[in-house]
Amino acid sequence: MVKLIAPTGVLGVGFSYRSFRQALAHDVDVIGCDAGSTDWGPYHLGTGTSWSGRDQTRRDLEILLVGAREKNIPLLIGSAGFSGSDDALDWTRDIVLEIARERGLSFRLALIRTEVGPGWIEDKVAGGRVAGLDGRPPLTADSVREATRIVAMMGPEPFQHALAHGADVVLAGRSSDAAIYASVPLSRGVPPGNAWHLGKLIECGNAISEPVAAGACIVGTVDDDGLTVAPALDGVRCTPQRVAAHMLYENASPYLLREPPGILDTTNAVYQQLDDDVTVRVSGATFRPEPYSVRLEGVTKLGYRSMCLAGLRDPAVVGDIDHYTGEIRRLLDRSAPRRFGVSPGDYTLEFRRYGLDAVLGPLETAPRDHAYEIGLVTEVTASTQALAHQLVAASMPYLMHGVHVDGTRHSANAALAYSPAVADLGPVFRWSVWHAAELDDPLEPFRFEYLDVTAAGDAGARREAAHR
Amino acid sequence: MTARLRDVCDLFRSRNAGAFLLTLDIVPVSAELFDRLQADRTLESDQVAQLLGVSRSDLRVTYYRQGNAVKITIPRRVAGGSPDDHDVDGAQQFVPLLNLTV
Repeated sequence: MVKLIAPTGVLGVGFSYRSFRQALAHDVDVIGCDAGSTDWGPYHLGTGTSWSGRDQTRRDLEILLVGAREKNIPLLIGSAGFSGSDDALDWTRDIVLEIARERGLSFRLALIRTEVGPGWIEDKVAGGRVAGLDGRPPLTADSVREATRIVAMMGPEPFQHALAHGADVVLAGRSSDAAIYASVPLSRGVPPGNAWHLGKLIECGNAISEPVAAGACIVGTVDDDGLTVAPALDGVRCTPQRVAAHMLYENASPYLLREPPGILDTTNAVYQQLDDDVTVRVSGATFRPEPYSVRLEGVTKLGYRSMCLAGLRDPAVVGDIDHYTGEIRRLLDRSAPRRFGVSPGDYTLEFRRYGLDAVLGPLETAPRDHAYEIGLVTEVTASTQALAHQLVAASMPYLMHGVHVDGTRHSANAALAYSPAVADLGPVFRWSVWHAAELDDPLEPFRFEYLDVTAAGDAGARREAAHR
Repeated sequence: MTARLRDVCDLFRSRNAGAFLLTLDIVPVSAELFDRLQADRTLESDQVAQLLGVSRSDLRVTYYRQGNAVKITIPRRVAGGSPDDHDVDGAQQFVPLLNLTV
């Protein structure tokens, strides 16, 4: 039997401190926490920056780190720094070292780097070991070389490897969420169906409990016959409906979940409420081995973006929006070569029409004449931030009064939302690598480093470069 | 008897399933309604595909009895968070089906 704490779905989002301390009293074997996601777009991998701020990340990490050292149990963090890139891992490492120094903690820290270089991927492509996921076309050498960063999503084996090498705290780059929690149960011989099912069910922490807003930490227990999940906080409960529903969350299928070593199959899983009314018992999932394969996630930089938000409230402008934005585009495209030495093909000008069709685009079915106010975002993506900024700035006179709209009697067509009116959004990326690569060894592309952190504040480094 | 889908769901959400897929989870208010949706296959119709802007063959519909839920997974129009994507984690893309008659 293995007992784990899942404090929260994403490191930095916060959780109940009281609940965490209650969970720790359960004789727990390991604490795990996922820190990342791809759901908020390619920017975070592109820049190696986290969604969550340093202070909120440190707050969560400090509670977990102090608790883990107090009980002398491993702390496993997956997808460190949100994207799991090397920079994001280093950012998280520095926070951990800062906490250790200030709190006088000693432990062996393992870092697992999951960024992969173009040479390794091109060899994989040449060997026919890479396939597109979710409809992606075959990976080309060009798209690999153009990519800003590529990470490989590791399975449980690198966590197990680090723990076998004496790590107390493991910071992993990009990692399967479920693998964080499945790793220790698997290495202790728990049947893979139960270990992976537990991992998937608790990877979002309190999402399987109600009320969610209580921020309860989840205690998961897994054994040969099944698993149980329960929130560690009075007044909060897990229900079979909520737990079963979590298999839907951000998955293409609630029954089949591809993980690096194979497929979790929950078709025959049974979810039952125990007599305490807060614990759910789950059994019946199976795990089918497949050729070992990791997802490659990569992004390519397209340029830099700036934007201006303006409110349109004059019924004449709202009613003539296509003409109005069409004229802004025509005037900017006409003046850009002369003023900035660029042609319209060198930048992308887009309008988002909040209140009309910005969210659903071509799928919007609401009658257009229902709109009385439009939040108009004018945005430009160009090769440099300065150029993007100036192109948006250059559109502003057209936006304000350079376009005549029939029926207007005023000098300005738009209400600028902010001063400054033009905001720089930084670099823009798109997902360019979303492929599966077969591995010969689950540790193959991953690099391990170990730091012996002492209470005195020094960290002795030992590096185990490439595994092979 | 017919109703709008929005009026007969305990949960109706959409999210990314990775950067290139969008997934809609529909939990009807009762097991009976779940059975009806599965029996009459309303959520696999050409109309649903059209409302979601995909072809019928791109609709992947799964009936999830343990969760009393119907899941619809479709390809995204553009990858999540691309420059021309306006719903980075796909959170509002259930809206075209709100008024579907079931």
